[in-house]
Amino acid sequence: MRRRHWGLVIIALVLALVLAALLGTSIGTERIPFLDIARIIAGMVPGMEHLSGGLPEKWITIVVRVRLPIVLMALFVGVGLAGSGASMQGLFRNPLVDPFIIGISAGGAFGTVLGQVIFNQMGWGDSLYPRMLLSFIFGFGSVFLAYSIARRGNRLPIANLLLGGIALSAFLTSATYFLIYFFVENPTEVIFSLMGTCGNSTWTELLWVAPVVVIGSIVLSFYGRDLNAFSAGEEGAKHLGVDVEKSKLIILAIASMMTAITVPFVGIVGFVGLIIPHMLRRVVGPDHRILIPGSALLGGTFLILSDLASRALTDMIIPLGIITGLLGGAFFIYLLIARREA
Amino acid sequence: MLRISHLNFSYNGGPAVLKGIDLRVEEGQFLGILGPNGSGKSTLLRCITRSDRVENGSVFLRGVDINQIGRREMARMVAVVPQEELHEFQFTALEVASMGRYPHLGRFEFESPVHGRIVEKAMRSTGTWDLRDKRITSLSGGEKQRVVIARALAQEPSLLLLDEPTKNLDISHTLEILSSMERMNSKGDLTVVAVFHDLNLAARYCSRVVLLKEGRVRYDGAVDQVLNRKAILDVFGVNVGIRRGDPLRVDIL
Repeated sequence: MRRRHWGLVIIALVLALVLAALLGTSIGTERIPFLDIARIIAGMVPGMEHLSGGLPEKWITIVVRVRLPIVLMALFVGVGLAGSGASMQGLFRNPLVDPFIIGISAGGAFGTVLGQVIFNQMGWGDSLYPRMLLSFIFGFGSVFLAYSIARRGNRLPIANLLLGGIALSAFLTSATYFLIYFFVENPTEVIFSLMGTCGNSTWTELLWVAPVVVIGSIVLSFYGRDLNAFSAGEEGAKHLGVDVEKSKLIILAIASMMTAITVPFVGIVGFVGLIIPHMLRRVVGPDHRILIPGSALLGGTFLILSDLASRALTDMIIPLGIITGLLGGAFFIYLLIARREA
Repeated sequence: MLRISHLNFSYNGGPAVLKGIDLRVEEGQFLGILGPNGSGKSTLLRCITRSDRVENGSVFLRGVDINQIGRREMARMVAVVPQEELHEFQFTALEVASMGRYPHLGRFEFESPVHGRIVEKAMRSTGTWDLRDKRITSLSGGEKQRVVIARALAQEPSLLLLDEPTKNLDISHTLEILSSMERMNSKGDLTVVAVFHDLNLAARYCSRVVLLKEGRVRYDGAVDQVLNRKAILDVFGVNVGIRRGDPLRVDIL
């Protein structure tokens, strides 16, 4: 795709995102029309309260207190995971990479539970900060370890990277269950919170997730040209003038952070970072300068719709992570088969 | 242009691969590096391209120790063409060649038409302009290699380093590529250092050749001085016949 079409792509993706967000806010036990959602949102602006005047108080509560935080959380988690996936696929020059497959999610989950356990055992009170910090440390740690295990001199065999990620994920998941089994008083609640759900999201939580994933996506987009150069291999990228070690560290750290920040709030949501860049690459091509911001936007749309499906498909709420896991797992298998035939 | 001063190199403390290499490459030369497998040709090239780290004070580019030169600055002076490059993503040939502009562009800068013209020129000189909209993954080995060479030329380097660049090319593309190198080299704005396997190709295109044996420079000089029966028997252990002329021919007996 030529660069002059990039603006159109972004506009189309933003429109889709807004539409998905309206849909996600509209549908539920109480159906609320788009126009009224717009009025309620406008009415949230200080001094504009009259705009939502005349609407049922119950609707305003549902939109402002319940649905918007859920929809926006799904949006920003999707932005983070897809942006992170697109840049890691570029860095490891392979379309089979995803923050979940590579071990970041499992590391994040372990860090989250570890932070919670330590703070509860010590009676130190609210553990949000250590949970976020440890989620990042273990998420970043696992991807770095998987990469170091996989690397063979100048080559990075993808099978090694995937196996390294899978081994680390298995190890960290067991370690997480160990912590939950021995140190957590209400295991079901913690296990449920790791399954991936935006159901209990609040505006305060959004204040953490939104800036990290938005700023992260923007910064990574400006590393798009570096990531393009990585397609020539690390050695080739060096010869093109990329400070490979520095770029790699920055891109990995930001991509890990964008995934790890979501885990303490919504748990593990897998495969978004795999599916979205894959779909978008078919339309816009592999240039990371459009692929990363595009994936971030499409990821937001995809996760809002997945979350809607998790709420609206049945009378029960199916955790979001289960929906994306089923979709993404099947997609991953399809990719493996398609590659074998290619 | 390039000065190598008493360069020793070994991989992770193993046996020495390069033993006290001294070499000066002057501006505008077309230097061929020849030698049997394991003689250190590729390692020497890797040391110059900083793929392998050398000690301070061993390799100088325009008088500056290469360890003191930043990657971007280096990429504006030196371009490298590897033996082969693997591609996973379906970039077009034009996109791949445009990556050569990386060291000339700021992080927040978009390619202006000037950059586009430089890339076009590089692609035309390697005969890849007509392939520009094709995906790199769909090209043949030879076509792909020519796109990679176009990318190297788009860096607008003063020194081009080639590691057996025509290994995967058929004879017509080999000649086409090397002739275009020769043209650019003879215009005086491109110094070329290339590892060759084929003595006749080296004889045809190089202005100077270096014969390596066991990590040492054994012979160094103009083609008709260096490529003689005695030197080739000494370095390769093979008896050959030499036909003087332009170009000089090496015949396997």
